Amino acid sequence: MVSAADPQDLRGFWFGRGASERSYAANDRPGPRTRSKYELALLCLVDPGVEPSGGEIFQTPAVITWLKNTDLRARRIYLNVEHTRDIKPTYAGHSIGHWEGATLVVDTVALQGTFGYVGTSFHRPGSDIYDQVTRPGQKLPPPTQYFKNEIVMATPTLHVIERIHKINNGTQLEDDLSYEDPATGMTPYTMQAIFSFGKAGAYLEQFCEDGNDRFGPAYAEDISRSGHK
Amino acid sequence: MAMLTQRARILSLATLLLASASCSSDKHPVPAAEPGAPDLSGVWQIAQPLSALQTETHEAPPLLPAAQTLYQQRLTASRAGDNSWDDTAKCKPPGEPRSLFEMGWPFQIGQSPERVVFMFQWNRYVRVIEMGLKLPDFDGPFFYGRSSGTWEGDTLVAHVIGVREEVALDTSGLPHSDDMKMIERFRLINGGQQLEARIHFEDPATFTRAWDTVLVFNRLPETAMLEDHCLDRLHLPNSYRPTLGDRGGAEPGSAGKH
Repeated sequence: MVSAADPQDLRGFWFGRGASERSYAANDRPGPRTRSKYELALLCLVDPGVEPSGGEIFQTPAVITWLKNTDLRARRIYLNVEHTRDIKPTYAGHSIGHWEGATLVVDTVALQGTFGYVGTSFHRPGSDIYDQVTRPGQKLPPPTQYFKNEIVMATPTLHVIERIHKINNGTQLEDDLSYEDPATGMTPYTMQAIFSFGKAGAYLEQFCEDGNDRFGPAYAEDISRSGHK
Repeated sequence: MAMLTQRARILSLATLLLASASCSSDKHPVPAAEPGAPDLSGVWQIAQPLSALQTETHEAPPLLPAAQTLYQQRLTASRAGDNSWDDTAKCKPPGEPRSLFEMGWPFQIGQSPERVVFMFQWNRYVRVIEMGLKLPDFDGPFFYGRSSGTWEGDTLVAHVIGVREEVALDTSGLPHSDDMKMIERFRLINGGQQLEARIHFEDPATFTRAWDTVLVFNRLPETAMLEDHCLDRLHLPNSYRPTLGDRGGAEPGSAGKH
């Protein structure tokens, strides 16, 4: 059982404060494979686990479960195991982790679906992340148009490594991520997200699927039109 | 505009969720486990698949005539292949308590001092029992209602109100009203290898009397949760679909044995 004073105990609610000023280790735009996150989100597709998001972490010796507050869906990191054979790509992908001292090293593969940063609530104009995913020379859109920016798609060949550890006396959580997808020619890049420990109020349920009765046979057509595979 | 509104609703979740949230600068912020409370964490699956709830004495729930008529209409429609009464066919949440056993799929429990979270495999929906939440006379209605939990010895007791009327209590279409109140009592049994849920229903608009049912769940390996995206499952023939018994290729015994 994990203990409260243990640096390997990540339990609690962590607020996504977005990327710090050290965000990207740089390079150029992540890659050519872009789609409208705005459009995909309307189809109730989910963000993959490797898109940093605040939320509540539950932890057992075998699994770290990260309940993301952007879509109230769980991401699971299985500890001290290998990737399973013949993994089927999913929105969350398959994440395994192990501890290197106080750092949780997470390896994620078998992703599909959306992936990106613009449009999430914690992105601020001028942040490195914002600049990174915005086309060179593109002006800052008003908030309601954030969703129209293009994003990187998570493909089954995308490989993400994260190094997660507590900082500032355990009051914050640092997630250093590196992304590479040689099969698609994407430029490898890194980024960093910082989360702050806090106390969350009561959850309020809200489900994407409840807001749109048009889902039905047209869903497949919408998916096809969006370019999502 | 409707699309923008929908997207805005999605993204507003974090704001809503954390409406009363605050950040902390405590030096030791990680919460300690609640003293004495059993740990219900793990992955659970209904021991005996079911589609229709029964009372504790294995009888049909005591429906009032109007509710019985509605129930029969749903049963008849289902037999004729008409599931229009059932919003889960549109991927809307099965709600509470149906989500605990829908399709026989598992759910994961996450537990903290502040809340107990049920993370269902079925479309990855989440239901939360907030510990010590002060419930109003009526709230919602919501798919999962509003739940306030307390610990009574080894038992998690959840008072639930405000479950949406259109959410059937089970797969067969058992009805209820918005005013229904449930008391759920969860406890570990059989050395922690099973979870028992005793559920008490009170709904004078639907039932002739209060009644109870008992559900038992088996503990599964923690690798047992698979990803389900309902809209893909229903509408994209070639999409990934978890199936009962599918463990996603997990190596037997490779992880999560509790």
